Amino acid sequence: MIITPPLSIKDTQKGLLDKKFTAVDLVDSYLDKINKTNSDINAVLTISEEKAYDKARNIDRLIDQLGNKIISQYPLFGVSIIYKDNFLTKGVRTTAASKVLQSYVPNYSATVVNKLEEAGVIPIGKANCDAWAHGSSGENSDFGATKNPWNQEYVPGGSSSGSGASLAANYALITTGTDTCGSIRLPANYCYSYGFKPTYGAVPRYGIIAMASSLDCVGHLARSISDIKRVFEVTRGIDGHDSTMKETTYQQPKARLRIGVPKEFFIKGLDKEIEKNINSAIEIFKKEGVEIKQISIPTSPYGISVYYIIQPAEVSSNLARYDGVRYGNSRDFFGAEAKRRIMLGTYVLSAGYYDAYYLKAMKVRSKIINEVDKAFEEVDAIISPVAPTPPFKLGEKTSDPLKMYLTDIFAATANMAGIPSVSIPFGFSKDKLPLGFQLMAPRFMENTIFSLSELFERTTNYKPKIAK
Amino acid sequence: MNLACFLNTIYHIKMADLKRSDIQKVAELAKLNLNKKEIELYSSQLSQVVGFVNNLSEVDTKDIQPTSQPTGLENIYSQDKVDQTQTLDVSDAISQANKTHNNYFVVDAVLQKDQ
Repeated sequence: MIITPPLSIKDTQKGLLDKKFTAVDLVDSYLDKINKTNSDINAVLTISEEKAYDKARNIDRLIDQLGNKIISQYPLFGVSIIYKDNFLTKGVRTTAASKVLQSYVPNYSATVVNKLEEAGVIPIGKANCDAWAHGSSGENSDFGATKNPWNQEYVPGGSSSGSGASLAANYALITTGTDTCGSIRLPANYCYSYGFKPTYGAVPRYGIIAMASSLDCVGHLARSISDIKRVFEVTRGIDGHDSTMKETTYQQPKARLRIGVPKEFFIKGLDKEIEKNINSAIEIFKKEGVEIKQISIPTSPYGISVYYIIQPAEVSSNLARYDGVRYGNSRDFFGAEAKRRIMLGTYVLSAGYYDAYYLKAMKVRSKIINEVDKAFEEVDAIISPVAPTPPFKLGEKTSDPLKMYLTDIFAATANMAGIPSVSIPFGFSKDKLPLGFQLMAPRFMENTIFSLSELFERTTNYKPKIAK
Repeated sequence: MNLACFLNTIYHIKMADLKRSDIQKVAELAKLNLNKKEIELYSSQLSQVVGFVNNLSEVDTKDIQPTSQPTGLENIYSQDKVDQTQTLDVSDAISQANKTHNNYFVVDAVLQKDQ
């Protein structure tokens, strides 16, 4: 039966327990929507229909058997999910949106995929993205660009383009993403949803196709902060297969919180609408008793330069494994952007250039980290724009890689320092395109940004929205 | 330097000078077959990006240690034991290969007679 799926985990699970609809109805409805509009939006690359119905039937059985008790064993029961296509899914084609892997079917799943499925999610399919997660607009996919459901002339943001667009088009309840320099936060922001990049080392990366290993984080997108939190409770924690993970306890935030406004992020060059929007968000926090403080992270504007040395260097090394021997096609199948990054990375690592570029970048990264850590002695969170402009038009930046790269100028700080960040939807531009901002906190202080986001949601009477 | 200068200078960057021969050499190192058009395109685009990231030379990094990962972890040890749940059997391991022979991957010849 086709229904209108609810927009939160809470309402979905309540509807299932109250027998207003079944998990099979949910799958019917999401697939119906995908079949009707995905040929325009191009957010989904592979539909895992059989698996989705198997899981849904199982959830319906478990609800009959366990009733309300299902939640303790399956905290995400009935939650339909679309995985970014760089998450390995056993038996379901995984391409990273690259033709190198166009027919690759993994023999194992990513830890995060296993954790989510053990928690009761229903996998609907795999989301389009910039090939190998290289990009800020979704236009670098080897299987065609994803369009923004809010206005199909515009990009949905990248690299998790299909993950953002799938939420705006209501193809699933939650989606996953990877964030190496804004790749979750930007598409979430451009598609009016929450995007969460956890602390580096909080969520296992085993089974995720690697891009830049000293920066990559596995996170997710959803339509409320409570859904973001509930998914994080399932995905986080050491799995024994990702040696960069850190054992930790998550502390509760302080009663009175202080937000820092870094002056380097708020000067000429920032879009006027975005500036006005974020200033009104700051006013809202102030009215709610949050202390607002001007801070400075003087080296942060160099973050994007550091990023465009470290990232391609690590990309060139991670993509060296694709030789077409054990799986996948040959290196001739790499798209233009992957080649560009492999070339750039190989150049900065090559004899005679390593010290001038890679070593220098790693040192400037240390400097940014020290300044961020110092800023967090004065404040509990940092607020900033997600990108310098609202969503831009398809094709607007494709011929100019550097201009495209600068879209991520505000995202870099969180990845440099390995700190958590959440992008929060807030308002629309005069062109009716989604706006928002991001909050960052010290490492493993996710609860601080969750608490501030909850306060903001309450105060602004936020309601999830999907595109018409 | 602040963001304003940063954004204003995008189109006035001193281009680094990556010659076609540099691009050709890097492509060989990276095992990429580039055609003439790509070499032309990448030499100008990479020159632009490298010119841009050269602004790091403005940052004083004297006595600063490089960061390779941000959580400050040191050595992580694990038991030297095979975890049977983490292995693939041979048929799974080779199932995605384009060419196999008697449970081996087939690769192109690496060494040639006249080399």
